[in-house]
Amino acid sequence: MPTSPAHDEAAADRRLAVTAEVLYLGNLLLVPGIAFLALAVMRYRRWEGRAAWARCHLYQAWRGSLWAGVLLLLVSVGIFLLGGWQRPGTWVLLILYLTSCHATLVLFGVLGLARAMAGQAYRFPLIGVACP
Amino acid sequence: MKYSSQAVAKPYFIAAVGLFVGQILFGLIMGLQYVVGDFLFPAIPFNVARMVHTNLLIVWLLFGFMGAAYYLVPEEAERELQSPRLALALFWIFLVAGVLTILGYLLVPYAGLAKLTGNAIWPTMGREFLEQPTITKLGIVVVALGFLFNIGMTILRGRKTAVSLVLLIGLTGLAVLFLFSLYNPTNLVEDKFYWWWVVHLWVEGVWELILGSILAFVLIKITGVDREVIEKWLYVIIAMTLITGVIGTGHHYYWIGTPGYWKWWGSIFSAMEPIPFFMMTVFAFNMVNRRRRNHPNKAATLWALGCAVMAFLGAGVWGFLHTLAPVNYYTHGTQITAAHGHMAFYGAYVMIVLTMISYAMPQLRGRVANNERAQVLEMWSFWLMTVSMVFITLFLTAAGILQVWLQRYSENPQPFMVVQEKLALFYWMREVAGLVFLLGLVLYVASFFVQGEEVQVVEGGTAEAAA
Repeated sequence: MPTSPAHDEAAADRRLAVTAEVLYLGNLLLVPGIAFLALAVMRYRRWEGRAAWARCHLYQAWRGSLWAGVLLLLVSVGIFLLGGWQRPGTWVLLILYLTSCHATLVLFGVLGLARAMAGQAYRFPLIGVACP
Repeated sequence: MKYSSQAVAKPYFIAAVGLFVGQILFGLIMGLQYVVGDFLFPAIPFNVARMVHTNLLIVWLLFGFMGAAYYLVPEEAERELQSPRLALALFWIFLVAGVLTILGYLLVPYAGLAKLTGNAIWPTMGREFLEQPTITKLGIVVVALGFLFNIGMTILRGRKTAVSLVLLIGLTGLAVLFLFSLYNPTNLVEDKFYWWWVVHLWVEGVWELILGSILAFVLIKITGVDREVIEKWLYVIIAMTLITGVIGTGHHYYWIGTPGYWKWWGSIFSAMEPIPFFMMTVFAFNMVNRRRRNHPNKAATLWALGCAVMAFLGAGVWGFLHTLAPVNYYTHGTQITAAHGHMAFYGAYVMIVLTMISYAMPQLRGRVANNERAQVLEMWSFWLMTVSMVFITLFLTAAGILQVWLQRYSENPQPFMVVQEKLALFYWMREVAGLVFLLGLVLYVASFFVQGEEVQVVEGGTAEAAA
């Protein structure tokens, strides 16, 4: 089926946005680290030809992944160090924090993915970056 | 409302909301009994309050599903319901049987109720969630058969859509699997094995089909997105539900005396059970983002999106939290299970029924959407109930983690009741959150009675208040 250049451009924009959000979610859910590396490669490639809203998804996903690392790894280590691993209170706080924080970050990604699939711009709540 | 026979859904929805209020009141009584053990004793002992709380949940959700089906099916099938009179007759039979059963729990000692209803002839009582007397269970089967006949004939004689067929498969599964509640082997392992065919295969199997189809129906109506797009999502979601949920039953077989391979099957497949809920969330938001119209019923849209999110959190995330066998070895039957149960039931099933009521009830009352003031109140109730349920879940999770540590994980495990006393602070906080939930529910009921300027649909599907 013949497609117009505009249609191809729009499809490529959407592909970029969806891929970025999928990698963000992949890093949180399925292949942590590997998806993050793939996202890093994508982040530092040049995407001049792509629409601003699509590039914005990539920046959000990248910024979100960095924040996820800080919030899930560093804060958790902090809770451990401050609380001590043999105190039940540490575990109550840690598990509640990790579960809630991780689920919230995943939901940010879900919202982002839904927006990317619909071809719309998106800014992560709280941890997002303003896009032009 | 396109078909006059859809009106039979109305009494079902009213009964559902009424019984929902009862369920929450008994939940609050029981929540208080966790910390004030003799509260209302001996009038309402803890075991009775718990039985009424869980049984009312099941009954009102069934009323909600049936009401949803009676509203949805004629519109999908593009014809009147096969027999509105049968639907109304079954409503009264189910309501009277349900109320009598609850009164039986409250007014007669359970053993006496068993004797009174002839349980010795066909013993099926005494099992968690399936405490109903055998005669009530048989009544439920009769109601389910009549209901399926009514819905099935309407679908078969009318337009067949993916939404109505998925709903029919879900409802048929619901009825067929309930038959296992009548099978009560004397071997305790076999008893538990088949007991889960009702309990698990309902909530993590066929009920999810009902959930998916109702959500798809409401999304078609409020977003105007092409049916084909929504139906494709629905197919994938229900496929994933069945692929993961059926063998995922194995996560209940870890410690009941079944072969050890169930630890692998149960862990692997139930670890995948969040996938359909994840997809449902993406699906709901994607459809709303791609909407072609701004439906004036904003409250229904909020319920639909909230349902997807909370189902993902409650059933998906909180289910995964304790589903792997090595984790479940410690967490089994603790307050972590209660935390998961509360949020999963609320997110997946309470909210989908409220989504449908929110969408259908205004239409059943002759308007496309409730007035602005009523919708604002309803959205307040949404947030109060949802946020308080999040807190109920967090407090119960905290209690559960502490319970695991003190009772099962530490070097000197403490007895159950000693640990329960140490969890009192969390139980008090849960009770306070429960009161906020009740406040939200009161606002929800009040929203049906709020008067205001009628909302009218203007060109392009947006809404404005009538002048």
